[in-house]
Amino acid sequence: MAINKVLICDDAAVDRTNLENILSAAGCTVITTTNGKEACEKAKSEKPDIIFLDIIMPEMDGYETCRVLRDDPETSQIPVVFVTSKNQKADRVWAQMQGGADLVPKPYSDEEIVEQLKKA
Amino acid sequence: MTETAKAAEGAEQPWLSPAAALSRYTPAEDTSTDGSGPAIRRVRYGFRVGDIGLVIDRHKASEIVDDVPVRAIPNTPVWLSGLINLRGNLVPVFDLKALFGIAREQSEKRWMLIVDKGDKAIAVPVEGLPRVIDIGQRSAQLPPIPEPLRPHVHASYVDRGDVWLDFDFEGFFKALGGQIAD
Repeated sequence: MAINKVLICDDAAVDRTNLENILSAAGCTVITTTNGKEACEKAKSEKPDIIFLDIIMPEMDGYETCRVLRDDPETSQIPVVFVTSKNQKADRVWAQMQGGADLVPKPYSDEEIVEQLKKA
Repeated sequence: MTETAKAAEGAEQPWLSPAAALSRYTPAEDTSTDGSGPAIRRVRYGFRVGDIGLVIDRHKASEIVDDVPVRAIPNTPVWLSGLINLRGNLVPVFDLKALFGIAREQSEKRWMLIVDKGDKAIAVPVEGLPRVIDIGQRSAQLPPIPEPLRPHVHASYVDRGDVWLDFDFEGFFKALGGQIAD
């Protein structure tokens, strides 16, 4: 599937900008959000091709955001890739149980992010 | 006959522990559903405490973390293991195995299931990672249940041959919290 539009959700400005730069350079139209609630709203209105989602965020964390996205018929089919500093075996299993397509641990390389676009 | 043998002969047979009793429970073929019509299938998460399978709402289970150091709290029941530091948030750890009287093997791999979030978060040590449970098939009768849990169990379900107890999570832990406060 050709990825044109990407949604990023991360509460950390540095991480958000870094991801945005990588994905823009890869030719994607990038939408950024700073929390889970906003990400769910944007996912419904913008219909991105893929979502890159941080896990550790205040209020609504990435796991909960992913569950909400999965439960909504309008967003349930959008692949979600977790981008996180959590990288234990349990984190990967849990991410998958929430409906995540993959997990990219921080710190990551540009290639690891672009690779996700090819997988989607 | 030795004194020991006489004593053993006269002694009452000990009751099975709830955990042991539960592990022997097999739902009968004809009691696997309550017969009240087509089952409504709901997906929840199941986790095991010894032989006891418990299910909680998918949205209540926040995350799973590797077994992290637990700092004990003095003068608390043995089933309140202590506190863990979850990214700066102090989360109480409720050892349900200890509460239900189930022995723990030191070698067993444990994870911490974090339920709820923020100030309401609690941690429960679990063996094995939680799994998705399809709780559409409701058992007509409840299996033996450990006493502290009994008032909070709504129903039991069978999923892939295992029995899972659906319980009032908040009521159960509120009751435990009340015991600590007393």
